[in-house]
Amino acid sequence: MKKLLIMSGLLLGMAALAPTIGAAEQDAPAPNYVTQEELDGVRTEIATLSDQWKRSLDKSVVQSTRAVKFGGFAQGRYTQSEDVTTTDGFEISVYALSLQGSLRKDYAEGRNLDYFISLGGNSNDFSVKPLEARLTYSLFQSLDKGKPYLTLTFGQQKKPFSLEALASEEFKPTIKSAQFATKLGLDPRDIGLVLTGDLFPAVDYGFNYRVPLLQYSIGIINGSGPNTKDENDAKDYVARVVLSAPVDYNSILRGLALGGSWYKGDKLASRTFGTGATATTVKRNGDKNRWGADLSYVNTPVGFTLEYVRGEDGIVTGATAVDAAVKVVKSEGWTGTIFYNFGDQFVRAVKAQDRYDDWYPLTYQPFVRFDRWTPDIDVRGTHTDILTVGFNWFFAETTKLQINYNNKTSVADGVDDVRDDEVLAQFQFGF
Amino acid sequence: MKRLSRILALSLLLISAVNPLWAAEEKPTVIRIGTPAGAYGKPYTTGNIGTGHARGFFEEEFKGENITIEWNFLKATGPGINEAFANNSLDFASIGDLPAIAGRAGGLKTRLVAASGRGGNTYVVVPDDSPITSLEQIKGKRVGVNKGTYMHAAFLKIIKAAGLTEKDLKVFNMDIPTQQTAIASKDIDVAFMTNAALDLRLRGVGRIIHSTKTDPANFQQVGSILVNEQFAKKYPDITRRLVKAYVKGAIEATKNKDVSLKLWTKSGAPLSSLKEDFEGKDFFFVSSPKLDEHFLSYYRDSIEWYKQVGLIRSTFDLDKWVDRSFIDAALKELNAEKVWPDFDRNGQAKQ
Repeated sequence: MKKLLIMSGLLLGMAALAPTIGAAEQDAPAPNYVTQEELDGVRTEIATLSDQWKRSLDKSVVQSTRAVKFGGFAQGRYTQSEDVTTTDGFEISVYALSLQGSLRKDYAEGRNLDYFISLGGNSNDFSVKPLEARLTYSLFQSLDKGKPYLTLTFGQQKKPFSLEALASEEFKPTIKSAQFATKLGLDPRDIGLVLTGDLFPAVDYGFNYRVPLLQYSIGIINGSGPNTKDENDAKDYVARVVLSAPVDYNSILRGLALGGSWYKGDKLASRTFGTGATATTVKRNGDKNRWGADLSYVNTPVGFTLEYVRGEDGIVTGATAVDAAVKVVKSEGWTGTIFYNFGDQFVRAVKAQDRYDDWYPLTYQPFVRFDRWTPDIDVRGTHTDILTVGFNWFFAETTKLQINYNNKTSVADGVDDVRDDEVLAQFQFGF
Repeated sequence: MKRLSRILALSLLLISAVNPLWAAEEKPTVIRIGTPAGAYGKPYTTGNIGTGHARGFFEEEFKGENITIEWNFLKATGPGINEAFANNSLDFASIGDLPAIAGRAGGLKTRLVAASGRGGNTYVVVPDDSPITSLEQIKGKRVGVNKGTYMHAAFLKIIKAAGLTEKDLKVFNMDIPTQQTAIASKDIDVAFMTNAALDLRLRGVGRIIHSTKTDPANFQQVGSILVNEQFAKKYPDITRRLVKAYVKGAIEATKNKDVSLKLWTKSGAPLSSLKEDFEGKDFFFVSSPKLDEHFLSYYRDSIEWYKQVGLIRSTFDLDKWVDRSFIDAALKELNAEKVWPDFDRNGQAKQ
């Protein structure tokens, strides 16, 4: 009896457990399957993360109506010069903050409407002024490399004149611009409308390389410089054409280009006669014309550039205000640079990589430049020569160190040559 | 001041003159290996070289010799590798067939030393809700393709087989990430891309209407391993050892398919996409590094065809480009001559 009761109890216990055991075996998830509970858990996690993200976006993330790309750069420089008019010391030669983006993005053909605004200044007065403010519209498609491009830009922008004035760092290794760019007012921006395009593009798809046979720019601008109204009713006209060797990437002629620039404008020439209470300022309309030719060969690692520019400027002359007249002064400048790159700074494919670390190709660039400026070609034997020996060190994505030694000689007929050498060291960083 | 300035100037010139880059070496201090970057922005890749990289076979080969292996995953893919070779910025690279041939035809001084992945598929993908269901229906549509890469060659073969020419389509040159975005936003109607198309389908934004899995074998790409000719001449033994490290990766990829696929997910490609892409493929065929009849006939035919369709301007002698000495030596050293059969021009294993 006792045994029967124990056995019955055992049997009953097993019967009670059996569904549980069987159910547990049945409920145990098969490998590689997700249960409903686990899926609900993941959904809850996602919902929580989404909520946290939205609140974070609302409270602590900068927002804008359209996507904006911030940028900027600064150049810190030290100058030591024998020129008594130049003060040795440190300066921030330029600093700039920029905003750019697309007001309308055409994903199908790239007929985009883009904007670019930059503000900046230097340590002369640490004021902040607009450097550029422009809108650019792609009149032609801009996605197919095999077809020509054409854009229209309105606003304050660089003038499309001269290789030197428009050069990126790939073409211009020096700290300072060529003398003709400064003396002829080619560096400063101006306000106007510029049409830029190219024709007959040659594409080497094996290297993702595009080179148009002809590039052109035509512009109409105020001619009075940046951040100011036009000083007269007349407008200035500027044009530039570049012919490039339409060759494959691996050709020895890649990077060879011949350019021509032309500028026709008017200026308000002025001169003050006398001093104090009797001072009289005479203003006359005068010419402001320039033309130039350039040759460049940039085939990494080696490169050279050669450029000649002629200027014609009306100036007010005369002994007194009564006999004041306008005279045209013809000036000219030319510059030649040769450089060599040790490193991949200018090899686009190598710079664009997937890496986990903040890698950047170190590049060293020694160069030599000769720069001559003749302020008046009718005054014989008067010119200023600058021979620059320099070294650039690109050591991070947006940072470089430059050292230039300028051997400067001012020559005037009948006067001893004046030597004013200088050493400049410049650190440029951007973001 | 003048004397100091002159000394400074001379010093600058001397620094550049004695730059270590100019110093001649018995062995290189750095070996620069290149491979196309994937669609996911990660510094890993797939295939034999992906295995070799992830397993550290190259670093292991040169351990203790003061040689750094520098890996370069170029976003510009095959054309970017050509650009890097042209600027002497790479020594050894894995590259697709069209850019390899285009580079050589363009005068690039490289030597072809091994096969790098056969049977690479190209997928034709449309937006998920697109009415397009067949290749014939893409006539007149906006098509994205990455020109200059192996997908460009596959694109031309695929549309030709469908009775179309490039002029029947509005073709836009786009890299893979841009194509993915453009399909998702419906800014293009069709895209010809790698197995990144499977990712679009997984996300529910794309639908695949065709793939080269069902096309003749010559529609599927056959990659290659190239070496900088100057590097190979200067460092023949180093080159042989690089090929040896590469073959070790090929052996592992061949013998452990499932493990390899999981390893290749480091590139960012989902495992499900990789599994589907390689489904039904013989990994002995896919991963064989040998310069056999299949490989050589594919490249010989491709050179002629690329010239016909205008992808390259001139042909060249394949035999002068190929250097089999390195792969033969590597296979012998690793006792791997029998790992892979030789495949005939149709991709069938020879008896």
